[in-house]
Amino acid sequence: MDYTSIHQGHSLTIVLTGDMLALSHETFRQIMNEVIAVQPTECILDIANVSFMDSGGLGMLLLARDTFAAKGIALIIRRPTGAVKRLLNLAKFDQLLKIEE
Amino acid sequence: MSAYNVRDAALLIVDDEPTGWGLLKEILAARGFNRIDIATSGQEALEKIKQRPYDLVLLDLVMPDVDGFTVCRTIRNSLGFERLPIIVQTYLDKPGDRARAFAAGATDLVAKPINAAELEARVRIHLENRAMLAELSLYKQRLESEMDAAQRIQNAAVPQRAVYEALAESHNLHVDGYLRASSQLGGDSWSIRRLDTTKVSVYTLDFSGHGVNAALNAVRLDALMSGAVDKALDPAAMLQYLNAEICRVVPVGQFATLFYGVLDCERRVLRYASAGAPPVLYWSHHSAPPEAWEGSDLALGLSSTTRYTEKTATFAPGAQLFLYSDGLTYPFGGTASLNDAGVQALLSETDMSRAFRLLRDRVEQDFPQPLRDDVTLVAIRQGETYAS
Repeated sequence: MDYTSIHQGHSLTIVLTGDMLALSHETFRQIMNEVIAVQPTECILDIANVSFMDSGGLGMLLLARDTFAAKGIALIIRRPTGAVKRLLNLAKFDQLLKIEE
Repeated sequence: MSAYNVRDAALLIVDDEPTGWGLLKEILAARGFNRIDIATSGQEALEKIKQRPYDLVLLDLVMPDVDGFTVCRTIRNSLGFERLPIIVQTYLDKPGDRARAFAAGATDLVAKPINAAELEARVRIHLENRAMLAELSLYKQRLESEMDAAQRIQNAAVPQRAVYEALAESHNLHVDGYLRASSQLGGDSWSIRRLDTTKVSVYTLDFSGHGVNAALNAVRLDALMSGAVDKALDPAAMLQYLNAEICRVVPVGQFATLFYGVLDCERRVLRYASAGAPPVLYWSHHSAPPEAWEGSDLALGLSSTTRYTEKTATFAPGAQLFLYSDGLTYPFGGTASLNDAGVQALLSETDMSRAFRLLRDRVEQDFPQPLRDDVTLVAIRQGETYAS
């Protein structure tokens, strides 16, 4: 899993590429630390280029949501596609996360 | 564990000249090394090494008959001695010897004339390296064997043939189950249990993540379910209870998917609830096409306020149910990879028992090994002749 970040005003967009797996844990933790260091009011996680997510990946989204919330940062998941979109819908994650098309 | 004392290491000094080995022994003995053997020829050195496990060899290169290079090469080519530290003594003015000594397998060199401090430092450092390597490889072995054991336990902790046979006899249910734990251990588990003379519960669960943590959490859920006897007949109440427990004890970001069903063979009804479980395939009769049940409530451990809903389906003689974990649809790339649609297509075209075997064989033979994620498959058919 790779990522790039775009900082605009109070918003920080993280563009993720590759698979989001339990194994991507280290990278994801790094991303979270980076977001917290920047202290935006919202963090947009653009996952249009994430082709697959396992349960560990879902768990990371929840962890990010809670960790950011504690720091006053709103988490927005943007543009899930294909298998990832299906997974988020099937698992009813739209109830837990703010997901934008 | 007490610290390893390099002075207790068994050393072998190989030198044909008494002044040579005498000096080395004197230096090392004076520094507290208390297990020093001497070999005065290459031949004797090789014989001694075969008889006793030395921790380090100090080797002179120039000896009649079998010289130091030959001893070095012979030791290196012997099974079990690939890592034995060999320190070779050479003269500084013979650079060719130094290169040849390393080529023959020497670990390190000490320059002649011998400097006592240098000799001690080199001997010590190689003994410490050797001890650390041994400890590390022991640790790795232990870890691997524990992971293997955990994997075997996970594989064996699910219902075995005797349970299937009993259920065929008592409830006319024909069950096939398969669980293959991944080498990293996943969080899969499943079970089928007799509740009374006419009812049976069945579940498949998958705790998020990998590793010992996921496996232990899966065991924790198993135990919670076995203990919740009063909820065994009520799928929604069972999920409600498990969700509360998981929310209470498991940190954010970890959760479990669970399908829990109660088969009432007498009333011919299946009552079930799903917490984020993968699609379940259901046939009202095995001659009819399967339906994929995709709707589910939130996985366990995500939100303490989730309300779980019970659904029902008829489960008359000939009805079938097929459950699988998401390890089956793990996209590892390549042609053996399956998605939900692929699984459903196979089960629409093929008799369920045969599809079960095909999928199992595919996991065993075509999936990349070691498996990336646990795979669970469960197939249940109500026999045609169930008489209430």
